Amino acid sequence: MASSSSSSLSRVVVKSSDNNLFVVNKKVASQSQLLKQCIDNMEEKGTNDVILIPLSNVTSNILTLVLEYCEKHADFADDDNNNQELKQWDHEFLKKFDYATLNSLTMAADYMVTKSLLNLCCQFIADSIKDLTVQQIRQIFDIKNDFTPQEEADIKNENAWAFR
Amino acid sequence: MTPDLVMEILARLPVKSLLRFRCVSKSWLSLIDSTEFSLQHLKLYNPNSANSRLLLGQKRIKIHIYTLTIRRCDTLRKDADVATFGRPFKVLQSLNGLLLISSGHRQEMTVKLWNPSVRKCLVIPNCPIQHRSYNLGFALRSKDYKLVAIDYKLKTIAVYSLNDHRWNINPNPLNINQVSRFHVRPPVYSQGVLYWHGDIFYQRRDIFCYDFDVEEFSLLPLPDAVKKDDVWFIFRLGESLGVFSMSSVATCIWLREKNMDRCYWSEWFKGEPNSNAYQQLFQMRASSILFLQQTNTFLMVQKSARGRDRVKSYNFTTHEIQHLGKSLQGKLFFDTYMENLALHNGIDGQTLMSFPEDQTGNNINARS
Repeated sequence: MASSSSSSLSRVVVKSSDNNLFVVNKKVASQSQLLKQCIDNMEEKGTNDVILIPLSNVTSNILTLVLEYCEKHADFADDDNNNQELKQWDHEFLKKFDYATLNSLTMAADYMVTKSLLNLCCQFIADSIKDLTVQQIRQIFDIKNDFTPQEEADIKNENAWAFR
Repeated sequence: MTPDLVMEILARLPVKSLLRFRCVSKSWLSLIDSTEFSLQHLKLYNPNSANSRLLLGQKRIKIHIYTLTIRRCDTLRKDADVATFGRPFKVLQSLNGLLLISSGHRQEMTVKLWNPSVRKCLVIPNCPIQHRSYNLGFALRSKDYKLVAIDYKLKTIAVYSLNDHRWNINPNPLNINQVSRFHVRPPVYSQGVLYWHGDIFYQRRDIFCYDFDVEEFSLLPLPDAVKKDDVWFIFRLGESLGVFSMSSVATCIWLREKNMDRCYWSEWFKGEPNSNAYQQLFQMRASSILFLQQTNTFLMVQKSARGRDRVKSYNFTTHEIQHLGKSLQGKLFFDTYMENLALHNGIDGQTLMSFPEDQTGNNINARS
């Protein structure tokens, strides 16, 4: 809901972990609950200054992507959630990235409290890993196998059909 | 990635992938095997519309073969075979993808809790009371699947808890005198409570309830607007209890909602009535009813005395009634197909059987 008070901000500046600055308009920033909260707090104090929000956990590469997502979704903010065009765009958007980028994007969406992007990333990753082998999963998520060969074989035997 | 995010992602995977990924590492194993994860998975994986399918049981008349298949909700087209049983076999109840089944002849009849998505089943110990009807539910507070057996003659219930793996007898639970044993179709489970209503000769406008946490019965009045001459039935809408009703003035759907500690009926849909649909719904002896939210449709099994059940779909906005799956024969049963991790890791001190045995049902997760 746009505030009509005289102290209403129109833009904020967001700083990435590698010290790059991004000027973001309020409607776009509001897609992130973290940024929205900062804006709301400042407006309550009645400040007219442009505020700077540092994001110590998000690199500029990833922040660019989050903001690209927020911009697109801000355009559709008044439509209903089931917009087919937007769904298609979401899918095309994520399709371009490798797992490392997807992981960083997921963490950024979580940190910036952009629930719809978080859900989207989680579902996308889930859909793309469901048919992978255990070995492939360890590689993607950079997980060390801490089972002995015997332990691993035992767990596998409990549900051998799932490995076929 | 934080453990919370790993959980967010894994909870959206099919059971088959999860059973495989238990091998990834010790931390993934303990995550996937936790009760918390299993409940989160049930919530996140299943409502995803891409996974929306039906589990359909079919018992052909004369030849004693019971088949279970997974089917598409809209066309009833077959997606995968689950299992075929030659022995006397019956699905008593289903909940969250778990099936309560009985198999074998009368003397050696066993009741089992079967989870087709993990292909395991647990033999339920003999019930300590007679004249029983079984009902399956999930107690929200103790996070426990429970089975309640009711003896209406002696006004006694016995409750089986999966966590404890044993029966407890509860003589004379609160309000058991007021509930009716006669119901037209299986009870509707929602949020830890089982709901059912009496047959058409039962004149009162109440729904009977059984709460799996407190293990007591109670009565729930229908919304005031539902009148005696209406066609009405209860069903599950998402996590809530819904009531559909049609009178000569309107078609309505109410939802049981909870705000803070107050429960109330809220009108979820109101539309025009339709005399043709009214007649058909009035005459249809629907034995189970499923609500499909994406299409504003109810799926119903229309009972027939000679075991020639039919599946009908009814759209409450257009009032169109269709006969689906025309090639289906015999006695039919259906419920939403849900993937559930429950039972996959056994329960304390109990070994579970692989079920069905490996040679059958290999296709269960063929699509995943």
